[in-house]
Amino acid sequence: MSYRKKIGLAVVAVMLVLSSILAGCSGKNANNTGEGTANTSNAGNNGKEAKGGSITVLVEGGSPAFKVAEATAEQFKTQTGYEVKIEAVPYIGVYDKLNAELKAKAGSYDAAIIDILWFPALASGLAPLDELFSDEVKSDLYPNLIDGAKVDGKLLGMPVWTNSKTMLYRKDLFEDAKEKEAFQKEYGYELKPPATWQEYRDVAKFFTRDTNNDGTMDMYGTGVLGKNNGDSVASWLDHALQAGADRLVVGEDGKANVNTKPYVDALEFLTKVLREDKSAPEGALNMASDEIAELFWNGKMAMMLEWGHFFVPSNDPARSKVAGKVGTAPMIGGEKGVGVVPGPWYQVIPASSKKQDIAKQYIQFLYERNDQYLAAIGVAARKSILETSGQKPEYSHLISLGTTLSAPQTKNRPVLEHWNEIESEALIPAVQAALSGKKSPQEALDEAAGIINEIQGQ
Amino acid sequence: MTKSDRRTALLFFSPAAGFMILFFVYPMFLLVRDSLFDSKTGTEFVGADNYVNALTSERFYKSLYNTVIFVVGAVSIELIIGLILALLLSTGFKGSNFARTLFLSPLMIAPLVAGLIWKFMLNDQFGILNSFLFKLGLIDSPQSILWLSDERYALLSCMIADIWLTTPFMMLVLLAGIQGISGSLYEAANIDGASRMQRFWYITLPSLKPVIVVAVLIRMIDAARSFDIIWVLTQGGPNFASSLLSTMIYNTMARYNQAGYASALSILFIIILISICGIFMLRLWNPNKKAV
Repeated sequence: MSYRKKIGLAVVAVMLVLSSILAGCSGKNANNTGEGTANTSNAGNNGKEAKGGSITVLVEGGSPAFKVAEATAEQFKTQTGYEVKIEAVPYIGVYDKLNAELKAKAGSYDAAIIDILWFPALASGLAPLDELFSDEVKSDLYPNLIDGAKVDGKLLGMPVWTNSKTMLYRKDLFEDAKEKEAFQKEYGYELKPPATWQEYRDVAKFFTRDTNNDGTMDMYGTGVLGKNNGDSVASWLDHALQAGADRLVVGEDGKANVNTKPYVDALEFLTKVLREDKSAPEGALNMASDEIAELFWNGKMAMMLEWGHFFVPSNDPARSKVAGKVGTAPMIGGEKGVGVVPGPWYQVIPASSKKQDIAKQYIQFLYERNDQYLAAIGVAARKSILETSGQKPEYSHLISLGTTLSAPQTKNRPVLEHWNEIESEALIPAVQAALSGKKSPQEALDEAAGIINEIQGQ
Repeated sequence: MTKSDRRTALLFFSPAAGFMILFFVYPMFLLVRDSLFDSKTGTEFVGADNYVNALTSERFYKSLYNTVIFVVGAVSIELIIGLILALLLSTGFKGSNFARTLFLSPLMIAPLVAGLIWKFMLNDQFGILNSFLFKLGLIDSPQSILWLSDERYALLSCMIADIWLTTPFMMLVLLAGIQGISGSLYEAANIDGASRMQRFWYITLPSLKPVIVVAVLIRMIDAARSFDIIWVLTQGGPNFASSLLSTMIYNTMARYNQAGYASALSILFIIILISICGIFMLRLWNPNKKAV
């Protein structure tokens, strides 16, 4: 009896020790997804595995970057003899780890796929990739997509996919004869996907209705992004560009210009849709792309200005209750036409990587397989792919995306060192203050301009 | 102690001391050192500049204020509910064991997961809380109370989620304390004809005092450091209405990349927490003094 007890206690003790060790280890890589391909942060110099060595790639877990990296790893190894070690972390984890790598210079990563927003902060730690941009490559990419990676005249990233907000709408509602008749009667023109601000407001108001008279809205015309993150700012900047904004957020003189007319007009536009027309869900301050898409997919919204790739899951019966009923159109245009802030992602090489040549080969390798990102997320970077695939009905959003991205008022967000701080401390609060009705758009943006100048002055 | 005794004691103490120095004293030293250097490059000595910036920053005081509200509000409500539940369970009614396990379940959930659950429950479009209140007729429409998007309720929502998550801890600790009270005290009180309220007020509460102080102290420090629940619910918004010192330090370090400033904020935070604990322990309960 006591012998069994001793064995039992010993087993428990060993399990406790093991679990605390494992907990300690997993604490470091707590956010790994995938089936075990993701691992260690010092794999870069581990030549023991493959006979050709390996490169370590940092991607956002579950993202198309991750899926394509995984799907093509085998092929890369056959081609070059190098194993591709994938480290997958949550969105901001990519930024955090590269940031740490910048300071530690440990050579932990040979390549990473990053959001365009992070260039200013990470630029000093990235290797220039100008040599990869042959004339052939340049001709197959949109110019402002290439420019998005330009810091101090050097190209620091190869685009992997580009994206922007476009119009997604319920084809069935817009093509319904009864709806068309009612709309024509009320507004005096034909019901179709809106192309101007006024049309957008009209259509949104038209479709906001309490169909069963129970006191709650069953359908909203559209959604307004007001969540505490950069998505809301991007949405507002889209409209600011449509209203004629030139250099975003900070002017030539380095001073904030967010309280000038186009920006105020844009914020007023959004505020009116939310508070005056009431054609968007009230909880806007906690809604961004995901929440709005969720409502749309549940049939509670007539249209949404969403990132282009949302078109693919919108027509997937597994995700969306309105699959097959979703149409796509370009972004709406303001006074100065159509404009958006693109949201591309780029492949970069940390300057501290010890295998930059192989990493450059890897970038070239993925560039040749850019269509795989199309399969993974529904967007890609290369013009040739976007144009040919756009002919297929399941990728028809690519046409809208192409039109939107090549519009004259489409501009990138500024390359500012303190962008994150400006966004969090000045822009998001301004958007939220206006949308909540606490301050008028002009007041909110005046305050934001002051804060931006303070931050820039550091 | 004899000399050899002292030497043995030192020997036993040294591994722990080594561990402490490596994983506590040294990082603390680095933290203080970082706080004295500039945030941009980390190489320029700026002395107390970071501290002055923090102490004159509106955001710091707002976050401090929110932290105080959060801690005081959450911990006091947890204490009251935990005490009630503990008293209930201590009566040993039929099924109290099952009830105890049930009440303990929120404690088993990771704070991040609890935050996500509450995020869905508090949602004005899909959430069951508003839908429930609407059906009961307490609110005009499911969108009347925007728990997570209204500045007035954002902090309250975070507190609700935190209270749900950690009241079981309070309940457990207080239950253990109650069960430790000698039954003879109650018998004596019964003989003297004490009422229920009097028994509670003159026996239970005073005996529980050290337990309550410890539980409250632990919970206060924990609540002050809360991060994951707040972050997943509101990210410190809207408009910094639910920004605690922890989220502010995170933003400063991880998003804005200002290591020096973030270090100064952290040191200030530590000083504040230590002083509160110190006051608490000195005024309310000193473990070295003999129990009164």
